[in-house]
Amino acid sequence: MDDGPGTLRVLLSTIKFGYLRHVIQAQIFILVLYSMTEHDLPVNVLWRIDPVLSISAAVAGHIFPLRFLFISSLFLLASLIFGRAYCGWICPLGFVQDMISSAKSLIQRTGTGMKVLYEFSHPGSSVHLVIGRGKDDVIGHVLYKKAESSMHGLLGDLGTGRSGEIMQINEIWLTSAYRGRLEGKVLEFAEKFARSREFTHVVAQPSRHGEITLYRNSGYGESPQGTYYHPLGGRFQTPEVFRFAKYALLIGGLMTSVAAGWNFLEWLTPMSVLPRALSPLWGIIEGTIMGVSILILVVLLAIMEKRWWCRYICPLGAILSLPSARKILGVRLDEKKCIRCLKCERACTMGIIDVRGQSGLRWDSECISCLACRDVCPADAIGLNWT
Amino acid sequence: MSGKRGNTAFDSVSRRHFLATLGAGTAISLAGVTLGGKTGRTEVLRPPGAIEERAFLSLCARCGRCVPVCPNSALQLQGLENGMDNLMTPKLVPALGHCIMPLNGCQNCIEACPAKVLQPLDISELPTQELSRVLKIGTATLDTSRCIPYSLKQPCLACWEICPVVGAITIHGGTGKGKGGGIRKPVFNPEVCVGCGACEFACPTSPKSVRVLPAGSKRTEWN
Repeated sequence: MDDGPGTLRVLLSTIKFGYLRHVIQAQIFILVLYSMTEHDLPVNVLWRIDPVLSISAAVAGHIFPLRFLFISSLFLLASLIFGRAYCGWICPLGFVQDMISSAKSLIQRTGTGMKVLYEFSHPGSSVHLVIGRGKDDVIGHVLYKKAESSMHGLLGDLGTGRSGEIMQINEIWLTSAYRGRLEGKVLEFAEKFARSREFTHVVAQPSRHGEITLYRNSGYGESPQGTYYHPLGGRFQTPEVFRFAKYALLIGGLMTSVAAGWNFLEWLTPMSVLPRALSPLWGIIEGTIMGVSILILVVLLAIMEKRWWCRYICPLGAILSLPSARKILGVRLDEKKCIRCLKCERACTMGIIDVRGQSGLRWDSECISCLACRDVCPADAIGLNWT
Repeated sequence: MSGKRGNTAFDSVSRRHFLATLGAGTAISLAGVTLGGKTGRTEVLRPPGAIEERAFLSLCARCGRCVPVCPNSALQLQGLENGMDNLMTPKLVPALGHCIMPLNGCQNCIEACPAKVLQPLDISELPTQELSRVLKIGTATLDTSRCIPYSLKQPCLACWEICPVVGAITIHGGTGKGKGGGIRKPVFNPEVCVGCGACEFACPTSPKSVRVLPAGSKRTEWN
C-alpha cells in the first residue's frame, strides 16, 4: 500500500461508505424485525451470538452453555480482526442512534454554515478571530495579542497550520475600515490556506475587543494562545473518564452474576434492548416496560451526543473493545497527509479522534470502523488499513 | 499508506483509572447483589417444565412470551415483589387461573419460550395418577382452619370436583355420626398432586383455603 494509490484505491475513494453502511444497517434492522416475528428466532439469532449474555448466563446459572459460548467466542475472535465493526455496521441499536444523530445534524445544518470571522482591531495590537458553524457552535474563545510586526507571523502560522488550533476556514469576512490596509495580507493568507483547505469566500470585520474567538465543534482546555471555555450553546460533552463506565458496568455485571446468580447484564446488552422494546409490534406487551424505557433513554442520550450508549454504557461494546485493542484491520491516520482540518473529529461517531494532539485515534480500541472520518477527509489521510 | 497506529485505550489507561474502574465495578456488583439478593431466596411457582431455578434466572429472557399464550391466563410476570433478580420472570398464579396441562396436555408456554427455559414435558402416555412423576409444578396444601367442611361443617367439595388428577384429592368422612360427622372432607395427597392449582382456583373461600406452594416441585435440567 505504500507504493502510491492503486486503481482500486482510487476507485474506492470515490465511494462514500456512510451510505453503504446505512444500507447494511437498515437491512440488518429489517432482518431483526422479521426474525422476531418468527416464533423462536430472537434469542436464537440475536442473543446467542452475544458474548456478554452467554458468559454471564454461564457464571450466573452454573451451567455450561456450549453452543452459546462457542458462537460468542467466534464473535470475539472476529473482533480481534475487525475491532468493533459489529457496532458500526450491524448492531440494530447502533442503527437507531445513527439515524437519530443524522436527523439531528440534518436539522441543525439548515441555516448555519461553517463561518470564520477574521476580525482585526487596531492593526498594531490584537486580533479577533471567530471560527464556527453558527451560534450553536460557539465553543472556543481565545485571547490573542500581538504587535503589528508579528501580524505577519500570525498569518504565516495560520497559513502553514503551525498554530495548531485554527485549521479550517470556510469563510473569511473582509469588511469596512481595514479592508484597504489588510485586505492584501488576508487574501494572501487565504490563498495560502486555500491550497490545502476548503473555504468559500472572504470577508473581514473590525474588532472591538482585541481577541480571537474560536468556534469549534468540541473540546476545551488550554492552548498556546489562551484559554478556551465552554460557553452557553456549546455542544454537550461528556467527560472522557466516563468511557470507563462501560468497563465498570461489565465488571460489576459479571460480578453480580457470580455473586447473586442473577443475569444482570441481560437488561443492558443491545441484543435484548431492541427486541424487548419493539415486541409490542407483534402483540407481546408483557415484557416491554424495561426495554422501552431503556430505548427511550438511549434515544434521548443519542440526541445529546452521538452514540452515547455505545460510548459509555454498552457492556457488549466493552467486551468487544478488549480484543479490539489489538485488532488487525482498523482505521489508521496518516499524519503526513493530515492537514488538520478537523473534519474527521467532527464526523467521528464515537468521538475518539484527536488530530490536534499527538495521538491520532485516542481510543483506538473503541473505533467502530464506521468510516465516517474517511468519507469526510479531503486529504485521504484516514481510512481502513491493515496494521 | 504508512499509518500511525493510534494509542489504544489500554495504553492510555493510568493506574488510577484502572483502579477506579475496578472500584466502580465492585460498587455496581454490590448494589446488584443487594437489589437482586441470593437467587433462590424466595421460591416462586414457575410455569410447567421450568428448568432448575439458578439456570432459570440466568437464562430466562424476561420476554413475556409465555404470558399471552396461556389459555387460562395463569401466568403473570413478576414485579419487584421478589427482588430484582425475579423481575419480569413468569409466575403461576393459580388464584387467577390454573394450569390446564394435566387436563389436555397444553404446552403453549413451553412452545412459546424462546430461551428454552421451559422444557417440553412428555405426559401423553401417563395416567393422571402418575403425572406427578414428570409434571410437578408445586404442591397444594390445605388450611383446614379456613376450609368450609372442616371449619364450618358445611358441605363443599369444589376442589375435589375440579381436580384433574385422579387421587390427588380424596374424600374422607361422610359416614361418621354426630355433629358434622356426615360432612365429606377433602384430603390432599402431596405425592400425587401436580400443583396445577385448579383446587386453589376453585376454592370459594377468601382468602383461599388451598394454596399451591412451590415446595416439592420437580425442575428439569437445562440442556
